[in-house]
Amino acid sequence: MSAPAGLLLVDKPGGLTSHDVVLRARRGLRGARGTRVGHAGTLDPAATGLLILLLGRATKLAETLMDERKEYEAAIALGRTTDTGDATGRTLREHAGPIPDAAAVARALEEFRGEFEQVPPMVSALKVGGKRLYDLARIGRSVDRAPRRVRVDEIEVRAYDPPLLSLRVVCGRGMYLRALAADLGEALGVGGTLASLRRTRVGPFGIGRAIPLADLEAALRSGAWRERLIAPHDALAHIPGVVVSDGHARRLLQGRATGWDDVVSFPEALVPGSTIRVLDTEGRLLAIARALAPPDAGVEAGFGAGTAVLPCGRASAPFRLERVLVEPAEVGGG
Amino acid sequence: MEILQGFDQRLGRIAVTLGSFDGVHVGHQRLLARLFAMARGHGARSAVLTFDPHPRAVITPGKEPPLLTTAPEREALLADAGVDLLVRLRFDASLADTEAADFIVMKVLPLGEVVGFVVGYDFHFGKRRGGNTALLRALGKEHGFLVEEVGEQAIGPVAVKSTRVRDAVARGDLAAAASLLGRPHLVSGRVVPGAGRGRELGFRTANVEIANPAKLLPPEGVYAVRVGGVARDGTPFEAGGVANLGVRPTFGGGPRVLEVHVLGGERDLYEGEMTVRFIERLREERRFESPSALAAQIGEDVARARAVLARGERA
Repeated sequence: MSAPAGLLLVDKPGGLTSHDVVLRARRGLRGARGTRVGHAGTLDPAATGLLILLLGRATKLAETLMDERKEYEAAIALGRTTDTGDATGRTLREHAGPIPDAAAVARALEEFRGEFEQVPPMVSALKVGGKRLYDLARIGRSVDRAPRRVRVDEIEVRAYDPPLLSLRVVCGRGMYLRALAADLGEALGVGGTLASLRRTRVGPFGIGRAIPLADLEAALRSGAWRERLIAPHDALAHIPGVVVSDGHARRLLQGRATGWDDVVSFPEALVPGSTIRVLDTEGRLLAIARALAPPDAGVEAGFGAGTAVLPCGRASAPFRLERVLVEPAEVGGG
Repeated sequence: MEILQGFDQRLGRIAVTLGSFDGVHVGHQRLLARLFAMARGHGARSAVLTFDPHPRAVITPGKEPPLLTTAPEREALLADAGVDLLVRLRFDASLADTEAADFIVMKVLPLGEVVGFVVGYDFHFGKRRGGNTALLRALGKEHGFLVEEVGEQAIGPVAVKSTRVRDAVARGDLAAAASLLGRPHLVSGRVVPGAGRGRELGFRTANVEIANPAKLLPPEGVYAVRVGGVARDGTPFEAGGVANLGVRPTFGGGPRVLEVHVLGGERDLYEGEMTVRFIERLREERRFESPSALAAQIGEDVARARAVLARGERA
């Protein structure tokens, strides 16, 4: 049997770090000892919800999956500020006055839609000057953090029982919900702390497909995990795919230049700069790549599947490889 | 609220708190608010695990404190608060002998997929109260669940503890009891036949049976009360009232009875269920020279009760 590769979806319990979950999965893997295990996006210890475990070669999909949109159920306790931004931290300030009403909260939330700058929390895994922020925080040091551009696609109030505000948030990569809680509290003038966090979606994967850690550990012991494994190909089925000719696949993976002549089919609307899958003619996922900007758009070209207007020039490279997922030797052709 | 009995349950995803919750006072309410937040935040249902009988009744029999709330009263208050699941656990010698970690791992965690625990600031559990929040946190790290500790709740300078509430009720300080409970002290019971004395005096009374001898009541006397319940014909009602809590020497050591004159019209309450909330103590129980002197005093009590209750409504 070939080395396992794919995704396992687990509903991370609270109290464990994402890395703890990875360690347990690695230890538990029966019949596939030594398989690499990773995850596609950290959840704080106090958070629960969807954690994507990556096995074997699928660990290379981490970056791609981290770019996916995520959905969270977040509860924010208004009126309280902690050093970590969540309920596990030390209370810095407790607001004594009245807590804003629903209308004021709705107005303040408007400022947290679309793209904006966010200063990451001091207690986070980011590095400043080569040091992890949480290591600095642990020795009581606070350093200036550069604001980062983040994106909120959707933010809606699920319930508001003052001071507890329950939100559904759909956001892009790098978003810290703890910082959102603190910033929203600041905007309302009372402070805020993330009271609970649950991740309910990452890209195409909803929490409904995830299983509790205890069930996953049982599946790892019994071997039933293999049936739950999501193949890398299926995991990224929502990402546009470009199929390269059999004759070219190996050369491509060896890093040789690819022209449009080597492409057998491609999606009609290929957005330059977007992530694409590179497939062989059997539909096997070979690599993740980034579509390139067209030097001259609208060149007509004929392919096996018919004629289409190419989004970029025939002479230029259609994409740039980012991650190769199979060994060149495993691919036919020469 | 769903009520379940025993450890043999498959409750699905739950956020858990454990305790006797006697009184369901302000401190308990704050703890429950955190439990609901945890449950809602992590896609779970809220579950309260209570023990029956009170652990102290098993460990140190005869030394258990009087009850601010009987089991049915407590369950009604927990349901009103919004608890999803109430699990009644039998506290017996074998459970009292279970080590703290075993209790959590072998007994509680198998109840369902436990996302976390919300506990009070002085939480202890297991054999000889050997487990505390630190142990629970360590187990959480091992088994994957959250632990939230709720700080000591204070109303002004007074910490809310069941013992303080009991003291306030026992000395008849109902305003202090109400501020610690977040509601008036109450008693619920079945309406039973009385001696008919009230009717003879022109003040018909409903007699509420206090079936549980451990139930804590304020001192004997006359009280302004609010009552609620279901009349004999099944219609729900809410009204003010005057209650006499007294000794009924003719009945010897039988169940205590609370006589309530319900204000605002006649209702047939016999055999219905009634909840009596103590608002204010009007006077102590007294002997009267004649039935007419007693009737005159009751008339005065009714007028004072109306004034007390009207004040409460404006506030």
